[in-house]
Amino acid sequence: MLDSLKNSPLLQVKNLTTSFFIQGRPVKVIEDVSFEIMRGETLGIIGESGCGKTVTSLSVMRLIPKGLGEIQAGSVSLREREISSLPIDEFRKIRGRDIAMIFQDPMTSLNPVLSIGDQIKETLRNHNRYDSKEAVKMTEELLIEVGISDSRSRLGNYPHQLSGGMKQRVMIAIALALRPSILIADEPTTALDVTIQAQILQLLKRLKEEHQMSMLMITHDLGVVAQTCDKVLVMYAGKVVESSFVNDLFGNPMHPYTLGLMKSILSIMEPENHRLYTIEGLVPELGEHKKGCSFSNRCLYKQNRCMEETPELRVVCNGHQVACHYPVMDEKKGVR
Amino acid sequence: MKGKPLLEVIDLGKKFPIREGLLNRVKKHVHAVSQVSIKIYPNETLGLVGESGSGKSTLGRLIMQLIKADQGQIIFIDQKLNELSFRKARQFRKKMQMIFQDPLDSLNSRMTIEQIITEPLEINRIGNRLERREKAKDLLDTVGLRKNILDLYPHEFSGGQRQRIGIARALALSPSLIIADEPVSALDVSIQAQILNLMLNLQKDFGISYLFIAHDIHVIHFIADRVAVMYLGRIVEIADSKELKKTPKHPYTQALFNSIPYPDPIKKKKYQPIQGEIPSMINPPSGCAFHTRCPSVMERCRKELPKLRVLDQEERHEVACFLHD
Repeated sequence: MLDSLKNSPLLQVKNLTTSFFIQGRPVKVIEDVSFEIMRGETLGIIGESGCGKTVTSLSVMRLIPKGLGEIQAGSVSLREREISSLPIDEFRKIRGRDIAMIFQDPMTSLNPVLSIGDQIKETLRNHNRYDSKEAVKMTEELLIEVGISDSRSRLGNYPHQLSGGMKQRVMIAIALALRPSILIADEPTTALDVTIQAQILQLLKRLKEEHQMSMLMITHDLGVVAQTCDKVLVMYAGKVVESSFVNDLFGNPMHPYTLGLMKSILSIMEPENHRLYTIEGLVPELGEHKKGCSFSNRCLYKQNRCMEETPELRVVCNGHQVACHYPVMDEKKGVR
Repeated sequence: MKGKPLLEVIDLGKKFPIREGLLNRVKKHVHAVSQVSIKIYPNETLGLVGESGSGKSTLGRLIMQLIKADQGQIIFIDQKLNELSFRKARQFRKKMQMIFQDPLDSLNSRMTIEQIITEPLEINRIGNRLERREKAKDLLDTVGLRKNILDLYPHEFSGGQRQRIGIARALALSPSLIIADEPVSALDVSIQAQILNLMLNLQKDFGISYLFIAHDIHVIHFIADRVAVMYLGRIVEIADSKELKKTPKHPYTQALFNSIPYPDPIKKKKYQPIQGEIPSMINPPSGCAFHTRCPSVMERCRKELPKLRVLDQEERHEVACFLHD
């Protein structure tokens, strides 16, 4: 029994498709997104603005605002139990307790008129885990755990009294309050300074190890992926275009888009000549329906077939999946 | 070094008063910029790097004369800008333009692209309407946009395109210095690269100097010839760009380089992040402002303020740290 649980994924997402209503008409924002997260594993989703990475996490959490959009297809299972079709009251018990989330902007995701102590206690009390006294004690312990040292005096602070880094620590404390098995972190360090980013990434890593938590790390930063993730999905225009173990992805990026992203960032970090590598052109607009591969208008390796046929995600080797008719296989074209 | 500097800033300082209480008296000050001296030469890019609250944007605004300095001098094309009358200073300020971080906030959403780009020309009474429209078309071409967008509005463009419009506006008066305040930090990596390449091309074609302000030390290292590192309102290190990356001397500069996660999982760094956060500018720490977070702090750092000291013969590397005294 235990063994079978160990080898089955903790979270499994299959063919998730979410649409937003634009001028009354549904437009697919993410299409056919599938992934698995094992216990203790960190999966990264990387892509540029508008690629659908945040919508993916919001869909898993069922936080897509009603009227703005809806999940149209797909399933989400937690420990082999289907949860995407549960009544919302049932699902609320899972949200926070089993799957918790932290957001990019801690300035807007904390309630400005509640003290941080009350906000952490609220989470503990809402799930009826603790009585009031226990909750206060737990809150203090949580703050210490996320590296806020003078925790007792901090309990009465309001969000505006804290720095950006501190607020993100408080967000993490709230997310950890119910000891979730999965933490979804949506650009958790993007709004922070680099020295604070390094602190928060180290904190997340420590907490993940201590609690054997799984993590879904959503980011636009290849550096964050390389240093924190075990597996990666690369998203482009609402679809997964590449998926593999992190070492394989950086060793041999197969999708021309992934390769382009890596070359762009490396030409800034390790400039060889005074010229930056760019991916010409722009991401296609939402709902701009075209035949063929959505990256074909920017792709250096495109051929006639790419404009006609949409490539399906397929396994190339060792679990390395890519949605491209002509994946880059020549190692010399890689970045290492 | 390279002849006469285009811009020289000497011992610049700015405190913002904080008023409190019933009588609205000045109780405290925010020490935004203290004793900053920099030079920018023709056709050169000086990078200014630091975290939020380091005073780097305030420094840019002081140079632009958008805020008045409390002390120090700003000498631009041989004129002491902060001693001139507002009207006179404006004559010289024409030659100095600014690009901002968020191109959506810095472009008036009710103005057409034509109005945005020709506004500087209009204010300075250059050309008639038709000539200005032609000039705007040329400028769009220069920054890599189509000429037929003059009657559109800013919201119809992507972030990268909007930044190009901001650059076109800055170029309208043929400036010799452009102050670029975080021009690429709101953009995606692939778009960042396009804008940085554009800025390099413009420099080559028009011989513009840049003061390039950013928090990303790799972007700064890429684009700048020399780099100044700011911490809590002061410059703590200044050096040639390559030299700075090869041998960063100040512990803060080292931390800036080391904090950035490297995009390759094989090169996992065993790096201990520096602790603590940037202190408040209202009560800056005594001595060296970085001593509260410095991994190599010494007793002396808590009491004395280290001065910027020249490290090498050619005077191209300066650092304010007692470790290199």
